[in-house]
Amino acid sequence: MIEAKTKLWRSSLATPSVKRYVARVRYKLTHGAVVAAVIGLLILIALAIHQNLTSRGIDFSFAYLSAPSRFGISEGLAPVWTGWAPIFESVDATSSNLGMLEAGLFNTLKVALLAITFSTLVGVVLGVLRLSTNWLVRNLAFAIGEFIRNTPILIQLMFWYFAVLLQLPSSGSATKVSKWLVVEQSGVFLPLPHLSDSAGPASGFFVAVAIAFLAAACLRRFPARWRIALLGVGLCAIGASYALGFGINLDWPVLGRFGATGGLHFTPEMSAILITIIVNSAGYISEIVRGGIEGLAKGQWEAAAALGLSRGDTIRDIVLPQVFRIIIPSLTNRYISLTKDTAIGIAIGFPELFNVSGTVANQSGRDFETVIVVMTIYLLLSWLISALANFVNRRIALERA
Amino acid sequence: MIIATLHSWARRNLFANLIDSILSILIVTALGWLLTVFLRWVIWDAYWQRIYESLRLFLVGQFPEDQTWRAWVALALLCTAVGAVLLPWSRRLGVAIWLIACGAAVFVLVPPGLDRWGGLLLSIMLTVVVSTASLPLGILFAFGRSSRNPSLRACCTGYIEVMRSVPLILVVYWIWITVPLFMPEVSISSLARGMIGYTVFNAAYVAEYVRSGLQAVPRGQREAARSLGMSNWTISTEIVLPQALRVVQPALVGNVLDVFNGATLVFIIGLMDFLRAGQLILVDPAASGQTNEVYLFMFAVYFVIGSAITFGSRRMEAHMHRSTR
Amino acid sequence: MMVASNDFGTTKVAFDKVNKFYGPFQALRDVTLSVTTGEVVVLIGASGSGKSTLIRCVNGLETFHSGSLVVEGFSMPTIKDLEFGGGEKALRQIRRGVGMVFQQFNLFPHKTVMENIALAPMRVRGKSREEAQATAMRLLERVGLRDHAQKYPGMLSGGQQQRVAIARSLAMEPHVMLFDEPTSALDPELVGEVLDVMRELRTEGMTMMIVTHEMAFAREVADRVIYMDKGAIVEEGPPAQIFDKPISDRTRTFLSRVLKH
Ligand SMILES: Nc1ncnc2c1ncn2[C@@H]1O[C@H](COP(=O)(O)OP(=O)(O)O)[C@@H](O)[C@H]1O
Ligand SMILES: [Mg+2]
Repeated sequence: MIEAKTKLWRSSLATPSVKRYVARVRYKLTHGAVVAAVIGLLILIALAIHQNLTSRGIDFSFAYLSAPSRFGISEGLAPVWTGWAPIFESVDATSSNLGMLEAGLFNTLKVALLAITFSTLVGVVLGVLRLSTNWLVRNLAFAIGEFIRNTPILIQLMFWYFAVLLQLPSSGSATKVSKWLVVEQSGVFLPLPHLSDSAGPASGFFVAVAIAFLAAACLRRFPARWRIALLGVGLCAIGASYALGFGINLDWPVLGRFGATGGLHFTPEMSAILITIIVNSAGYISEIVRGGIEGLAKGQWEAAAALGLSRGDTIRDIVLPQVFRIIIPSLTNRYISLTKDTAIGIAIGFPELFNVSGTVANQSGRDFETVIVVMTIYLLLSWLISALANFVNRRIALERA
Repeated sequence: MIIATLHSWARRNLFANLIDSILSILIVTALGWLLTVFLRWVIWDAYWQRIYESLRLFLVGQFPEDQTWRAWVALALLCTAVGAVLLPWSRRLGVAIWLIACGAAVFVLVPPGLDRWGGLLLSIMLTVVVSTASLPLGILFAFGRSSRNPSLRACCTGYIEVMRSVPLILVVYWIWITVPLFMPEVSISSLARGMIGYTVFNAAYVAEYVRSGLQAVPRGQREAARSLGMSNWTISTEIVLPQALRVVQPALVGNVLDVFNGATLVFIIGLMDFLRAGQLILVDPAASGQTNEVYLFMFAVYFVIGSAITFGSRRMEAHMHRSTR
Repeated sequence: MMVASNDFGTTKVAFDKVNKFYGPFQALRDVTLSVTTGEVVVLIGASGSGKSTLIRCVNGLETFHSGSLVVEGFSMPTIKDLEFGGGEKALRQIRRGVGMVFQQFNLFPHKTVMENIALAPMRVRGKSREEAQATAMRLLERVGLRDHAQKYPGMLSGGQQQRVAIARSLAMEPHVMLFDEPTSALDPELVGEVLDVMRELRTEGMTMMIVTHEMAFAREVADRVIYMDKGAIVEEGPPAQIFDKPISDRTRTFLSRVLKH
């Protein structure tokens, strides 16, 4: 038996190149077949859908994107390209469907960027608090994080919107918390910084110079003396721009009979979704940060203690910088999740991308095409965030190398 | 004795230094005040009658009243299923009982019609079905993504990455509108479509967990199996997968929590889950004054269930760390 | 060296000018070596000299780029053969006749000792459960672990685990056994029990290729000792020759370094 098999194998051994050729052909055929099968399946589904659509007198086309949308959304700006820089304008029923989607994307990005910034800040603080020497602080931080992570984000959104923001005193009888912050049913008002009217191109140039020099002064790769010089030049540039009439004024919210006006106004929907996502993500980030800190080698703590550093100094100077490098992949995942989480804005009528796309699909009857467009946008967003994170990661790796 | 230990504990944990002492006093005062206000409201001011009256809507939604026994039977079956996988006996038997009991629970609940499922019943059944169905799918995709076969790997990677890049609510909504588009003859209920969409979405996440487990299995395990002449199939199913699943078990239980929490998003396809039921109650003008009660109740239910799942996941993880050396 | 097509009855393993690369790094250089039935060959050499790579080629855990390797009359597929998914069957055929014992034991931690041993005969050789378990029990008795059949590997000492690993290989009734530093991960007092099992295998006439740093053991059991350096076989011969009057300077330096301790 073994003898026979051996013979067989040996006889085929006589022509190894033929065997190899057969193997290669088989390999290519198999993979060709798999790919073909998958593509075939997708085409089949697409055909079935297409046939279905045509039988109902609908064709597949993206032309509807440039047609007027015929509906309005409560907030959101779309870029209008006049020359080389876009101007952001609010959209209305005459704007195209594409413009509507752009305004939705604008809102999504607005929430995502603000939430990424602030949830990181809050999350890091919460994570560090979980290692406090104070039992109460430690466990309070733990309990908050635990509560956030063990309940659905949607109920958190509902809570902030329906149970908090909409229960605020109605407009007109506004509660002015302070000069800086006005909170009422029509939303949250903050002072809005804006350029003074006297600012011209010349002062703008000096501001740019100042920013460049100050940024350079922050880079550690320059020796200390250089950095002080850069700082000096930067400050001089600021002085020059100020002398040329550059300034930043604050636009204060004003209380009126029918509610507050002016300043930086967050609608209740925007406020609710922003608060929800910041708080929710902070809960997850605190866990990531804590995990990162605890995962750090014990030797680092001990070495720092041996040098006589205080606990606070150790965390700030030794632990956190290293931890950030460890947790970048987890943070990236969180930022991607957070961006996707903005889609729950539809539950309270916040016009983010998913919500707007739903309306566009309904109004135009183009469910299928709209979903493809929106899915592509979300894919690109996720890839963009990971690409950025990879870039940062590589930069850090390079600096340490 | 006890006083002395308490005293030294407080010294170390509450009053270690000046800042800690101030913080401790501030927090105790603030918490005490909050708790008093809260408890006074809960005990005297809150109107719990509304919750009590709406309990049925919360728990089973529009499930026919004369069929309530089915929900009870399903609950018993689900408890059996959970018990079976928690008890430390044969894993194979546990999984078998889980599948049979969950299948039976679905079977028992189907006759009144899938459209009648609602409330907590819907949230839980959705979680059970989606978690169970996405595990085998996820395992397949995990193997596919770590396969040496390039075309298979490309397809699986593409699928996983796309699913992980788009919001759940979009996938559920999309599958919900697409399924009837290419199968117009058969009418599939919203719930079934929602389950399909959610499973398709969640399988990608499960696949990534399982894949991390596959990577955690030492190379020597595969080599030993190969040197014994085992086929790739035997190596995957008998040697690598069991070890991988053991490693990622806590993460998979954590995923069940994600599924449960994400199940609130099915409102987008018109299903009435637990959260949606609460909203409907609040829309009723008669209940408009009970916003706080309703939210407190819902938060409590979600938090208890979520914490139980988290607790299970943590214990598994601790157990795993103890048993590996 | 020529491998005549009719002498595979006595030649179990025949390397002919085998070369192997890891990227640009050459791990095996023109290795030519043949092992006859019942022979015990011990490979020695500094760490990184390619001993593991060589021995792992014999059951196809490593593939090589050029040259030929015939194991029990089966020609081992090269990297080019395997590139497009061919040759897998031939590999499995070879592995059935070749057992391997690893430095890290590599027992399956989720299966009992009994299951560890009985699994491959059942799945690969298609034996019935009863038959496989009876064989497993016999082998366990042979390595002195009868009472541990129902335990999990994690509950055993390193020496016991390695003996289970040997039993697991033997259950496939191999004609050739490969040992890659079987005692290197063991506490010194546990080394003896594993070596005893290997001695016994030798007396039964098993063909063995052993990588080891136990020089006394090598001298005792080897029919032939092979010294490797930088992926090439520098010197080979009976233990008396290699250990007492090595020809190559490299061999002498190596031996003086390891025998000093
Ligand atoms: N997977 C691999 N990738 C790259 N280099 C390897 C790999 N495995 C082994 N090597 C290199 O090949 C050489 C020989 O390794 P090995 O056969 O394990 O040596 P030995 O067993 O004699 O200590 C070593 O220099 C090692 O670094
Ligand atoms: Mg080695």
